Amino acid sequence: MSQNSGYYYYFVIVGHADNVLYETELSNQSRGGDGQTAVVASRDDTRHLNQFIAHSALDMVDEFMWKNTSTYLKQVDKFNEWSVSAYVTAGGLRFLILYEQLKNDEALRLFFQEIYETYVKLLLNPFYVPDTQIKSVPFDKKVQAIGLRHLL
Amino acid sequence: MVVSTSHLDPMDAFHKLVQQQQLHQQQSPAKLPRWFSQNIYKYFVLIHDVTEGEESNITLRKAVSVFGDLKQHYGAGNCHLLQINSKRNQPQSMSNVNDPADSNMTDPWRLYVKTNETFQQQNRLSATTSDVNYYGQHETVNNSSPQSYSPFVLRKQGSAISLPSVVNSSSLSIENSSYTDSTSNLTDLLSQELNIVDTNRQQSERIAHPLDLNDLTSSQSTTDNTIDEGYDGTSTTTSSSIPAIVHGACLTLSDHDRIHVFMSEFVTKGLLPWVEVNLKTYNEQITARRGISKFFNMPKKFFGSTKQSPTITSHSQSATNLAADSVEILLRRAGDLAFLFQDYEYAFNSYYAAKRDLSNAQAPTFYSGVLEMCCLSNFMQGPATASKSYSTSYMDEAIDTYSNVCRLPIFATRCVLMSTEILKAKDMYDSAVQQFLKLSQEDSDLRGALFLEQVSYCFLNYRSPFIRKYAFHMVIAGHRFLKAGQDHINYTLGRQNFILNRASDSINNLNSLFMSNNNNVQSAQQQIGFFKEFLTLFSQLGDSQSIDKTLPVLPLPSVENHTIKVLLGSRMQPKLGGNVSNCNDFDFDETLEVWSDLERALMANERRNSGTRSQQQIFTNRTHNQQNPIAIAKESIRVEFYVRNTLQIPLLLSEIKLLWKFSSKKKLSSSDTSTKEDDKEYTNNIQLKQNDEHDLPVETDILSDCVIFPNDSSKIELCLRPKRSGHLTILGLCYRLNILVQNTSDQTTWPDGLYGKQLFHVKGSRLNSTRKERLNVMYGTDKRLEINVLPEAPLLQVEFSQMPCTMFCGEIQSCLIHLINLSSQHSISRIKLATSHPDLITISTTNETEEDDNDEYYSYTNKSKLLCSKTLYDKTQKVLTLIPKSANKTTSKTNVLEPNAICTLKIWLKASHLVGEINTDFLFLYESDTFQQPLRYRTVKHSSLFITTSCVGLSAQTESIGLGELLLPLQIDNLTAIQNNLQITLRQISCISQKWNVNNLSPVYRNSISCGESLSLLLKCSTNKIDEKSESNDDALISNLLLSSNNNDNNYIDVSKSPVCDFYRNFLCNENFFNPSRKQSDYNRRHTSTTTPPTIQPSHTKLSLILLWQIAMSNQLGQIDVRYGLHMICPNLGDSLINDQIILEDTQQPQQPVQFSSTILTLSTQNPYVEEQRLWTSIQEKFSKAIQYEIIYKTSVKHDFNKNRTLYLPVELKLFNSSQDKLNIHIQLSRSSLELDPLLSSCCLWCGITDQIIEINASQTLNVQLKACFFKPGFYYLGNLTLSIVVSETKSDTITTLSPHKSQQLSITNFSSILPILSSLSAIKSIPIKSNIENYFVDISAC
Repeated sequence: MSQNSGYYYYFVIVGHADNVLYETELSNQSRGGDGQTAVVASRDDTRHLNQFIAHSALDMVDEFMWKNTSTYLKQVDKFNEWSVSAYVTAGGLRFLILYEQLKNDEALRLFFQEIYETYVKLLLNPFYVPDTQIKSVPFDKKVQAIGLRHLL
Repeated sequence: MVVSTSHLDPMDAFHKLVQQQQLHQQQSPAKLPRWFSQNIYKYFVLIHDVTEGEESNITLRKAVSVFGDLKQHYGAGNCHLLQINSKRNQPQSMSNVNDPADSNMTDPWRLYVKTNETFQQQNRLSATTSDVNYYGQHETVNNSSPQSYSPFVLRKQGSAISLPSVVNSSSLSIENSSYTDSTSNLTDLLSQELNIVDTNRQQSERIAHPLDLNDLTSSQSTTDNTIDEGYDGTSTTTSSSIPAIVHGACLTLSDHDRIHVFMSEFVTKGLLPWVEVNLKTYNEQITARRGISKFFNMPKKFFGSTKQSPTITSHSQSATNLAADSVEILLRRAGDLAFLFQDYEYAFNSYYAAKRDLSNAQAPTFYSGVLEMCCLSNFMQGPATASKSYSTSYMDEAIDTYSNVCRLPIFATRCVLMSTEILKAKDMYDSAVQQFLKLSQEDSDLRGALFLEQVSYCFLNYRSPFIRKYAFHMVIAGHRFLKAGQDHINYTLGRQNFILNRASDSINNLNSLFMSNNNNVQSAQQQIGFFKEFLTLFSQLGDSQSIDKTLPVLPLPSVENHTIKVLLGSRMQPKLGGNVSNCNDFDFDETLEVWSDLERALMANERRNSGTRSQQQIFTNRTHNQQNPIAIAKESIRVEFYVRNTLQIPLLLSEIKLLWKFSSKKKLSSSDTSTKEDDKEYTNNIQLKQNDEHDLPVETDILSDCVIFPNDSSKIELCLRPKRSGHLTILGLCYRLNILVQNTSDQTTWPDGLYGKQLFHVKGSRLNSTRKERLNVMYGTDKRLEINVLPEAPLLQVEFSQMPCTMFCGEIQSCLIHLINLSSQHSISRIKLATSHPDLITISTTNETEEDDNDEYYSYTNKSKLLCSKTLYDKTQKVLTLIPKSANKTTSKTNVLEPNAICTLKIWLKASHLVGEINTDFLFLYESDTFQQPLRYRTVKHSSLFITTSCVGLSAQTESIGLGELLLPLQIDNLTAIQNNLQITLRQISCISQKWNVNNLSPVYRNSISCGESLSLLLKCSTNKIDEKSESNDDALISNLLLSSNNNDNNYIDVSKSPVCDFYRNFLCNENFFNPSRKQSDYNRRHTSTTTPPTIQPSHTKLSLILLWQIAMSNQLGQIDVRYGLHMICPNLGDSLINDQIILEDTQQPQQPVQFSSTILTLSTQNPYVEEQRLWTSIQEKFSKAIQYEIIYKTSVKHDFNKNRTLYLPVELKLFNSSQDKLNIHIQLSRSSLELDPLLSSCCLWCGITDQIIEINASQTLNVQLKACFFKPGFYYLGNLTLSIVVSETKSDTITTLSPHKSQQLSITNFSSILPILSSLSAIKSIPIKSNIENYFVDISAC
């Protein structure tokens, strides 16, 4: 995959019981040309794999989080061309991001950091029950914005 | 090398064996297996059978002498004389053994043979399916081919059949393949069994054998140089002997001792010294060479780095880049030897040295092999004794080299499997996972899947199990397995099972090859191969299967069970050249309903016995199949279904027939003494002899052949006929299966194909009524293949003559129906016909026996007017009885359709007035005395489609011209759609009415209209005079008008005869002519207080016109074909004519029906005023039209008022009572206009009686002379004349007292029909009559 083919990320927040709290796809390929539509099409074929890979990476995250002092775990797992990086919150939530290529490792750390802040703000909402699915539209928008800022 | 002493020339035999071995080794394209080294160790064994009786001394002496020669020739250490017993049945030979044979002769191999057999299966699989990689194998001894040459075999054939083959072969392999792993294995086993501690062996095996069975096999099958060909050969021989044999049963205890001595001697004196010598020489060579090679390698090391890259790509399999005697090879060889003899430390050191000296670039395969062995020997040393710790990187490197550089995925696989086993043993699951994953990405799906599965198991074994990873990799592994498509496994399993005589397993395996889901993967060529294998297998199994006589079940082609359709009755062939009833095989759901409706209509009047069932003739997936179909003996039962060829090759089915099971039904009434033959169950599910076929109770038709193309399905229809009553079950079909291959040479291999069967499986619709049924998948019972056969019964065939398919609207065509009784024994007593359009079909009353030509459509009369009886108004029957069942026996002969008789009927078809396609269904129902329960009658169905095109448009309006006369403008259009030159010729207009008489006013100069034209006629209807004469007579008058220009022709068509009158009757039915239902007439009858019968025959005020036309058109043959047709119309006579019916309808309003005045009182008290008002207005409305009147006078009068001051103008008032009742008319001549119209100068002045009540009879015209007088000229209005119908109640006291103040206007009427209603009203009112013409003016001018 060439460098200019754009970035694609699958981001998921996993709860304590391996339940999905929030998932989204971050991509800048929608404005791509002809060559990229083929890439998108091939990616569509394997989209279901994203969740599989992310889920299996949880094993690695659970192992790494006790070996590592920082909350950002860098790359924890790799399956074929897909890599998984993770971030563990203080509350034990796990942020996973799946990608084929990364723009910048530091950017990813910042991304996680900001997501975490956004999540904490969400937690302040008394109507949000922790460890349940996040349906907040502003949160979704915020995540997309953060992703756009750091990753795309 | 083993030679028996019984051989004639043992020395020669040994010599030959040696030669042969050398020949084997030196074959120029080195055949597999490869040999370890040039000079392998040879050990010579002379076997002597001690049991050869009393003369053993001689033979022994001979043996010893031969042995002496042997020792001289090959060296004493390399030879041995083994004396063993080989004969079981010689008690003399057992003399030295006193113990009972049984106790002694326990099977020494007992413990090992079993394991051998399990091994054998695995090994055989690997040996036959794929070429197990003997590639890197440096040493292996083939012992099977020498065996075939050895004299030992000869001897075995001769006398020693019972000699334990294992011993034979094992000893054989001991000598021949002295260095194989199997040797050590076997010797080990042998020594263990004998419980003798061999010190020498212990010396040689310094380390106790650490390998358990699993490790052994893995190393055997995968190690570079220890492929167990010898072992495998051994076990194969074992299995070839009968499994029940007791191995080693002939060995006496002394024999055991002797074998033991032999073994120890072989190991200590022969094998070990040889090994030691070899190792020593290797060592010497290595040390000698190392110096030189180091010297030579120095420059290489300096410059070598630049030269490496090209070599990597160039070689792929060049394992032998190195010279055969290079240091590395020698090291390797020494290592192998040491490894074999379990000196793992030495082996590791040599491997390690070799590894150090070798570079990856030079010989990658060899290098990775060394790496692999290095790891292995390291591992085998055990953790305690290993000098170096185990390094995974060696294995990794080996795997990488194998897979990436050498592109030998099989070696890489072997390496991974071994390495991961080691890693697992060392609890290094992480590394194992890495190594598995390294190869799981390869293109081979099967291996990838297997590895992924292993990976997932490894994840489970982690210290903290990675369950999610495990799940993920399991899923991926499953996906890969799915992609792998393992047809070949089924194929090989099938073959292997066949070899093992496991027929059923083998067939199952092969059957699954043809399952539909695999077929996308298989190519046509592959499938042909599979099929050939399948056929050969079946043909070879045929003998063993034929015992139970049932046919084998074939997997191909797949019968689509849901398409199975059971049809009762054979396909009818026309006997008289017409069309046979065609609808018996249709199974559309909607038509099914149509038929059952028709059938219900037919059976509506019948008293039905309970349990009577109509004969359903078709059973499909959609019909309700809870009840068994009822078939008749000697009539065909057809089964129709689709078979699908899922393969890529065309299939040929031949000799297809149905399989069935038949049992004669046990009669409940008769005692159990019925003969056994009746109860016997017949079937053709077994292979029968030819002559048996005739005795069977069911005749089966055979379909000769049928080709099904690839990925196509084709319909097969099979037929059978039960010969007698009973219960028939259709099981399935049998056929000869073959493939159609272009290559004819292939075809000749199986000219006959394969004869087998397939069974039908039908299930009903899924049940959904109860909760249990909803939760589970349950299907209803389906009995469509279980058929009750009833005894022979009459069968009706209905044949139609050519039916027209396109007709003009209103056209009349005739058609002949032939009713044929196909039965040769039974007669049909009654046939009835119901159609979906009864108004369009009628049966000709003319007797068909007299030959009238078909052109005779109408019967003619020369009267222009004739009366017809009331029968014209008979209600038509929906059901037509074709052959009436007669009560008395004398006539029954004529009315019964005799066996084989044909009855021909003529029916008239009339095209509908609606344009379009009309499907007309005919249902014939027939009964016979022979029919028993549950089948009382049988049916024949036919359906034909008519396309009607418009031709004639007929429209009429009525215009009352007052006083009981009507003008009837009639317009006749030619509506034929397309431009053509068809002329519609109008023949005649007939009017049928009880009241009206029709005259033509317009001149007839032309009676044909072309396309687009229209003809207008003006008819005048006048009241029929006859009516008055016979008032009670309901006869209608038919007045005919000829429209032909030739006036002389008085040939009127008799409308009152068939078929016109039938259609007219139908037409009237449809027009709802007889609207007053019975209830209404009853009502009338009850409430008529007068003697006059109710005159509610409305038709006497109605009239209907029948237009008869014909079109001459040329048919395809150029002949003129005259089409006849008729149109009927019932002109709406409009509001000008009141009929009672309307009023009666009004009385039908809720709450309105007035039974008795008392009830009305109560009603009216509830809401008297509103009710009264509503009813009153409605009556008023209707009655105002009952009386028509006109005023006849001179419209303009000149008068000299000077002469005479007053002008008297006579005015005639004509009153006409169009109702059926006697009415009282109140005529009031007022002074001035009621409406004060300013336009009018003045109203006339009436003179004479200005207020009178006149009684007018029904349909009576009354002239009243009036006189108007004028005094000055002007424009006067004569409308100041008020007419009203005086209505009052009967002189019932109750009512008059109710409204005494309004009963002054008395009436004497007998207004029967409305009296009850009116009497209910509290008021007596007069109904004003509107004038027909509004403006009655008179212009009076002065002279």
